[in-house]
Amino acid sequence: MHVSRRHFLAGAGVVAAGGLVFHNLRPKTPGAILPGPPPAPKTAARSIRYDDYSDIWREKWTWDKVVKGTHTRANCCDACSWDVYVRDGIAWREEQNAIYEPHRADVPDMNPRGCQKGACYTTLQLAESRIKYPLKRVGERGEGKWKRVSWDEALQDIADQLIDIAVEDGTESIVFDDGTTNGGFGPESHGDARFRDAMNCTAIDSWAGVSDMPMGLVQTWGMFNCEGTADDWYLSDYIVIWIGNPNSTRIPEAHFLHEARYRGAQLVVIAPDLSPTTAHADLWLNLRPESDSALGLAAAQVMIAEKLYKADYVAEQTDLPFLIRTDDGRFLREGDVVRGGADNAFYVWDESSGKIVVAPGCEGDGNGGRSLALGGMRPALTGVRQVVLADGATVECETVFDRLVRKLDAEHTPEQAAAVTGLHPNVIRTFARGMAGANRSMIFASWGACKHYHSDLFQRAMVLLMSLTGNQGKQGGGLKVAAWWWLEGLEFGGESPLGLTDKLGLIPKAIRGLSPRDYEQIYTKVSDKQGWTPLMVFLYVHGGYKELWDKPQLQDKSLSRNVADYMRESIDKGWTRVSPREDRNPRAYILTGCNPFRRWPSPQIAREKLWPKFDLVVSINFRMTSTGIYADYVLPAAAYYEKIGIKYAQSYVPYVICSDKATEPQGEAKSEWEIFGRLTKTIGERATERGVGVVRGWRDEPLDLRTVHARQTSNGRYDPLDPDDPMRVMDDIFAHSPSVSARSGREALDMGAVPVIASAPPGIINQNYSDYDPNDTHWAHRDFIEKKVAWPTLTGRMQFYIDHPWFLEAREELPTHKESPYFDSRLPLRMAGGHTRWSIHSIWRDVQLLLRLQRGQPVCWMNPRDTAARGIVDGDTVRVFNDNGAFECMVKVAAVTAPGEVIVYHAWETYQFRNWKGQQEPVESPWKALHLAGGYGQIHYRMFYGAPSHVPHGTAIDVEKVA
Amino acid sequence: MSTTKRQVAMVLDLNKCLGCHTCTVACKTLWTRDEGMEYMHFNTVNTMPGLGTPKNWEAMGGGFPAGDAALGEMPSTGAFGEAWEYNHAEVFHGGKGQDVHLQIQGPAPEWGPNWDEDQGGGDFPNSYFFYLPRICNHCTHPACVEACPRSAIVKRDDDGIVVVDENRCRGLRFCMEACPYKKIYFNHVKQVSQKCIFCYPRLEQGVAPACARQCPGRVRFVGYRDDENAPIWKLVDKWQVALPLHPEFGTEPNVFYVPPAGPARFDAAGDFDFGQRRIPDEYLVSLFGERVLGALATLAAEREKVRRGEKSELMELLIAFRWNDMFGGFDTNPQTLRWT
Repeated sequence: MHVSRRHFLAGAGVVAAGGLVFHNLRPKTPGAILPGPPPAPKTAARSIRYDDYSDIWREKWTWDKVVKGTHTRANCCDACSWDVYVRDGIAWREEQNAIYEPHRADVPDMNPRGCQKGACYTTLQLAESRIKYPLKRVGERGEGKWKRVSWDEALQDIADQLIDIAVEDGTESIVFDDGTTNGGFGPESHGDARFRDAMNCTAIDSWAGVSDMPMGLVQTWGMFNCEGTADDWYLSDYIVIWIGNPNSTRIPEAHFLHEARYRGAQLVVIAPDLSPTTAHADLWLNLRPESDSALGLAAAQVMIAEKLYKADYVAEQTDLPFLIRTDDGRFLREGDVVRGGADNAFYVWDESSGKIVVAPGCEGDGNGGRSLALGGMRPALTGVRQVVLADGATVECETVFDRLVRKLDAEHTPEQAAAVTGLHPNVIRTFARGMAGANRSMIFASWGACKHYHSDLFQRAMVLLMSLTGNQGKQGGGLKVAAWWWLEGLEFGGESPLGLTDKLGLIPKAIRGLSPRDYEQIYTKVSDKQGWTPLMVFLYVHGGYKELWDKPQLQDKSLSRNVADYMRESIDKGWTRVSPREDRNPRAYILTGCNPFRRWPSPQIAREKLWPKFDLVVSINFRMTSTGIYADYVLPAAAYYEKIGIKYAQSYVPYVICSDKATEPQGEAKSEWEIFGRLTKTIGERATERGVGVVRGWRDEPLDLRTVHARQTSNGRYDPLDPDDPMRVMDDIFAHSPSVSARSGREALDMGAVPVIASAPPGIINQNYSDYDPNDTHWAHRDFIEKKVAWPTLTGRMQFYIDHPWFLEAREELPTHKESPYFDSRLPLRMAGGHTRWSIHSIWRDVQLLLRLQRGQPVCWMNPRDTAARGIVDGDTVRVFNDNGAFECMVKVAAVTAPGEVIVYHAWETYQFRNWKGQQEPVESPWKALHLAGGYGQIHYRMFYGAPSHVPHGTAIDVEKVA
Repeated sequence: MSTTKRQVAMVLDLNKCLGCHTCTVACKTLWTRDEGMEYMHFNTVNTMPGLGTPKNWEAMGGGFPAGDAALGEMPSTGAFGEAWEYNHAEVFHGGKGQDVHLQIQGPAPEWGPNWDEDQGGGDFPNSYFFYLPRICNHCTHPACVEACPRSAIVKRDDDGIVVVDENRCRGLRFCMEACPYKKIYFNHVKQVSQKCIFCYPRLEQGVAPACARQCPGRVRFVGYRDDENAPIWKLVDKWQVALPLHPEFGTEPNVFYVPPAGPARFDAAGDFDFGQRRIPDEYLVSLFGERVLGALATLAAEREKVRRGEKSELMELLIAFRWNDMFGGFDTNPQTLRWT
């Protein structure tokens, strides 16, 4: 499961636009700022000395000072505060800063938080993979021949090449990629984002590109970032882990699951294999891989057939009472019934008045689509109505609910699902009744639940269950993905991408208070002005992947058209975005921490077809990576304990975690803030010296290269070459963030963990729409349920019926079950995976200390039935292959792995495999054409929302023993 | 049998263990970084069933199997797992491109401290596993102490912690043969035996051992064995749900385990079978003795009670609402200590 990016920085720009001055009008934060907790008083250690053997050990446990630290740019979906113990000028070891206060007396506290990786970052930052000096390639790309150069030489050469490219092809030919390893909320990352914007680079949008995009939630909710504090899990009575393995991937939070069991909760895991999380579950549903939607829909069938659903909740919060025309399968629209009526106003049958009424909250309800409050209306969930149209004709209409029930009863009974899922019908009934019968049920389905071809269908079925049972928006309930706290101060100092006209247009909305839908429109507007391109679209158009992805066997067989057709239509209609334009080439690639050859599907294609297009590849990282070695320059970034910063603030813990500088950087490493500041300074100087001025920026708008450093530094407000500059950034952030309790950078760094005291306004990665109460657990979506705020969808509801033409064409207007393109593959095995407990993506993957606690090399897990059939025994080296690619690794024969599955956990570096052929070589990643859809309410692209997903799981393969 | 004034002890709740090895790493970075200690892990975590660390240690003998001392096998370094070295520099800077990849240097390993991670036993779909973290048991009847002809192993009077006196140790390694849990390592550089010290330098400052205090799963309770107000006594003596590993070894460990429940098993038709446990009773009995069945029954009954809305002291103990209460008074935050 990935957590990725968290391109909150871009988010910063967006909310800078969205929040701009406007949320001053509607503050959600308390007027009075609460003080933070006082620092723990120091006491003198007892002086104990025996003058015998026992002093040997006492002397090992001493230190000179303790500094708060965390792993700011690790892109771990957690945030844990550590005490970094420094001795003799070296960050020697770390131990958790376990100071978290509980929300309530009857809920466990969050201590100590942290994992084995965080507990040995001191080791990683001193490891051999560490980059200490600027390196220039002197051999072939990937050969590993380097020359140590000075910073000045490196930056001057890079600047000159970027200027050349900008002059010739515009700055969109410079591709900036922070991938999945982009960092935090603080100065450790702001320099990167400022560079990207100051230079008007093409920005790779990897949110869907790393398959962390819950498209089913985009389609249903019009958003997807939702999660509260992890202690809210403790209050659930029926906890379903549905595609995910939190015992490995949510190590600091997992205890709440097991403590909830001691409170009486049931822990249910839905997964093909018996995972580390399943080991502690009460029930395990070992379904056939990728049959999740069939299970979910069968459970829904049981709930409805046995009348276990919450009719009032469903009538208010979902589109299930909405009327559909039976003639064309589209919603009944006001425009159908009234001449000149709106196309985005939809009807329910109101039993109170006995007539059709436009549903409150839908986009075109005439009141801004803001409220779901039904007043005296009683929407009918069921019944066929004859409706007279504007032209006098009569059309038959039925409710979404009736259509859904008919489909469920016809296709998705537990007995039918048993044939698809391999689960006994009683198992499905036990599950459905358990979920519906519990006081509070939740589904943990985070990023891992986005990595299959039809993940969106899985998610639509999951939300359906949470809606039928009235759990979405309830304490201890609902589907939980992930979310972040926002800091108002992140909007400080940046330039708003919106022009004056845009801002003026927002004023009337802002005066009423921005609705979730208003925020979404702002994010989209900002995104459209910048150089965002979804990764899969970039690879399709520029990366050489078209030939692979157009192959007939990789298409959804229920569609009559090839993905190429959908791509053409989507680009032509402006639904998806390509930067640089189709007729230009990407020419420079700047990667800050990310590692595409480790991550992208079939990286051999990018190596062969995309890389030659680049005149210049620059990797900025604290460590060497599988991709860095294919760069022309490798620039050394300071390690996490060598610079100050703020970890992106995951909502699991109601604290914002900050990292102080424990030691000076190794060698000549520098903070990213300084590196990018020096780079823009050099670009400006070289442009001036060379007489280069205005070039083509985003959308070919003019961009003056001589002023790029002014844009980087907010017109000189910052001076990245000044060692105190990062603290100025920290000060600016905290001084303007009333939702947390530190007021300055120093105060925040001394706390390490800065308490959240209120909800900040919504942001691009903060869409919980729930007010934070420091005396209770936190959970998402309360505004919709408790304040009747409309959801940011076309219908204003959790929308289960999508009458977009592509969805009708694909027969996905309702949640359904479909097989992946590999369903009829002649290859017998399927590649599965998931994040490992041993790394955060490829960071920590090569740490010697941790490799010694594994097999020390890449491995796959296979069931003994599959290995026996192939003459393979534990410890053998095997070749995992298909027509597209192959890699070799060691086999672990495991009774807990499902027959037919080959599990390769996440993120081995390609350089850990023979000939650097890594685990992604066979991964073709066919992706779903429907994810290119747009032009329909919540179905659209903007950065970090709604784009085709990389599909790392489910690839058809076979395995053979390597002689 | 040694009697000390007091005895510290640990209880590990296997129903909460994540197998994450934060304990192992916390211990490693604190105590075993020096030359000669590279391969040592005073704390290990193994997937059970499995051959564990050192390989097949449960069959190596030692302890007091029938009441009398018996020397067992001496585990080899390879059985613990060698400290693998890698060729990072060659891969990154050697100029050999893709002809060289990151590899363990020297002979291919055949075992390691977590070699059988997440493999488990049984037949799919009724396969099963759980994690078993282990430290030195700081036994009340320590076989290592009795076996050492140099009297170089001390059981401290104030807390019952078993420590090797490296000034007296001559590297004879009878302790390694005698310890039935095979939790003693040999330092080939210093030529002495080394083992878990229950973090006594921390305990002396009121700080819980690193493996316990750093455990994100909140698995480990620490405290004096006889403190009737603290969780250890309540879990071991009052509720009798925490049991020593392999009591038949006869050393009377002071580390205790709350046994794992495991998910429901499937019957032949694929429906849930709530009539018997997924983790076979006989396997758990082989690890924890006959009393494990009673412990599991108690745990299940108390959980049923809270499901009915009643209160249960046992469940509240295991929830451990306040993390610092798990440490029997050893709750000082080390960050607050100032060395003078």
